[in-house]
Amino acid sequence: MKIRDGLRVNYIYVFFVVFFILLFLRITYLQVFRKNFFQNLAQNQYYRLIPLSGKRGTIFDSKGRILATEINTHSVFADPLFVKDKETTARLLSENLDIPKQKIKERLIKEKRFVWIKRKISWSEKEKIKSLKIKGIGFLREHKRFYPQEKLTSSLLGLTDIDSRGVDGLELQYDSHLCGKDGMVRVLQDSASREVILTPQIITPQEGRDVVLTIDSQLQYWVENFLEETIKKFSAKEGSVVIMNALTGEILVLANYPNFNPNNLKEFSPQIMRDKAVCDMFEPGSVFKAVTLVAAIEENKFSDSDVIFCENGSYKIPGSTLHDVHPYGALTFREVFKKSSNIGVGKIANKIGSQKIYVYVKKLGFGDKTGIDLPGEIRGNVKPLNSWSKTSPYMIPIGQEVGVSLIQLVCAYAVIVNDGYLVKPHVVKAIYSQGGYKETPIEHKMVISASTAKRARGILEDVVKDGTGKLASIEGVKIGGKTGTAQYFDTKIGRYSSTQYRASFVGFIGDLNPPIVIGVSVFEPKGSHFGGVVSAPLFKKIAEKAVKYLGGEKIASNPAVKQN
Amino acid sequence: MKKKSFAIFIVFLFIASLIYLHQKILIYVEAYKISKNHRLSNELIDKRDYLAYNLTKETSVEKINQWAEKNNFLPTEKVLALNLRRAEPVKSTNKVMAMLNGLLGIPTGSSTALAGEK
Repeated sequence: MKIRDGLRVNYIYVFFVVFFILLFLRITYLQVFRKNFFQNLAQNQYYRLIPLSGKRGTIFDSKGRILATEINTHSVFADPLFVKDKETTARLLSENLDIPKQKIKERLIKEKRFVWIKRKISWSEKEKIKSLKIKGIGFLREHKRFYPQEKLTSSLLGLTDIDSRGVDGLELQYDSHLCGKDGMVRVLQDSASREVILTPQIITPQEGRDVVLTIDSQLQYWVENFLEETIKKFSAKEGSVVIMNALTGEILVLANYPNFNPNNLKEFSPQIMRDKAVCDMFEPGSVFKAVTLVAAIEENKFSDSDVIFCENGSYKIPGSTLHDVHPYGALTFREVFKKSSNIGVGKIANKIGSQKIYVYVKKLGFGDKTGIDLPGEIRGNVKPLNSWSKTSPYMIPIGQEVGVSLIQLVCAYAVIVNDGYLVKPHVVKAIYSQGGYKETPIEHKMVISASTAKRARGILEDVVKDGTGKLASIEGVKIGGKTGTAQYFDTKIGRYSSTQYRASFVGFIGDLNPPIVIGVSVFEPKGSHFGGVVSAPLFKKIAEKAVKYLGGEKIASNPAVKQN
Repeated sequence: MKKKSFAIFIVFLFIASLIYLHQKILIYVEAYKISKNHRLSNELIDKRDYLAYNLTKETSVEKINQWAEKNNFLPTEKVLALNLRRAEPVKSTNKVMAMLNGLLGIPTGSSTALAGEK
């Protein structure tokens, strides 16, 4: 009996020894050999990585007004596993977030642990949803791009996508500067999924740089209003206006109509969002005659009093016939431009020679990008000299068979205003970062002599004083410019349209310090299609405001201006 | 004697462990307090942004001009604008302190102007 009891004790003893050895081995295996695996598993449960988004930079106008900024918003997400009553949850969310119930329900039945319900909702919407205390519904803080000036400068600023990356306009061009760098923070998570900031490990997010533009929102506002008025008055399709500081190339206004509200993109087509002043090419018509004028003066081929016979309104050229709106006989060199005679300009160009004309077309920047700091700039269309047809030597000097953008025309006129220098236009004045700021340098090169520019200025001032651009004149203010009326070349029918025109006026206010160039272009006006009737009055309205707003002492003391 | 020393050692170890545990708990309590304040500060920032959003919307160039036109308000000759650009960082004039701050990674107090008249 005693022996059997002793054996039992031994068995139990052996059993426990083996049991504890196995337990020890198991613990050793888990603690030593599987240490990293279980440590990671535990850390994934205890710790949570929270992304910290780097705020996108703000865009200011030249006076410090905010044009685009970031605001904090919340995005609603769901963990479908925790949403018990999917029907009720979908109904409640649908009522508060303005999304179809079925759409939310489809997301909630997905076998995922994370689905977006709606991104970037307002604070009041978030508070409403939060008060419902729905299990499985959470919020993530995100930034949203906000354009406080709404339609103002919309086509220039462009837009960002849902993740605040630039997709168009200035937002795209300066995306690398504006875009912040995202950071991250690791926090402890307790059993109730609350975040506890305990020895946080942070990768600090970096804010994007702020961009200050050369644009003046106040002037932009007036210009956009005047442009809209003109477009509506003439039932036109679209229009653009550019105002540039002729000395520095700073763009003060860049307006397009129709425009759009970048805060509400659903209502607009991508066609409206295009920056027409920079990205659209058109046949300029008579505004292009300034190139012939500059070439004739620089080559010293004509004096102001030289007489050109304008064939009484009709002149046969190789392959076509040139016409004038009004028939003219003998006109002086100065009068040819004042009255915008196609025949006269054609004859002047013929005397200068095609090669020289081509050189001046290129010198004034046509056929090349101006280098403006906006995306999608069009190069225009200037045929190489060896591709010129029989009609080209007469047509190109009067602004046909050539494609230009409004910004190119403004830059070319700036050459005449600032004594022969071609400036590079720009819309960004400076970029500010934590470490300091960088200003956009002024780039210019001399393309014609100062004396040529001065003589051309005088002739263009005559055009406004008592020529085709009379409706652009302001009493007591030195204004020069050129009207342009161009038929639209319809690619569908393969010839010029008899109903579609582009009315333009490009001019300058020489009295201002610094002088400015204003380019106006209206497409498909109805009633009248002449640049002198449609665009010149619009130029005048803008110039009046600009003179009062930007005018120095010389302008301010002028009694004629004060009366306006 | 040996037993007495052992007992004292155990008591000392127990007290030390209690103090350590107490400190750990305090750290967690502080962490919870910080987290709560952080949440509260985020909520206040959201509220501020919401108000700023409404204010900025109501003071856009278009709204101001519409108001001015409606009330026949004529602006003065000089234009008053708010300078909302970020101010230049203020750097310490004390070179030794600036060097120490740089070495220890302590951020120098950079002031950011929210709004100033220009």
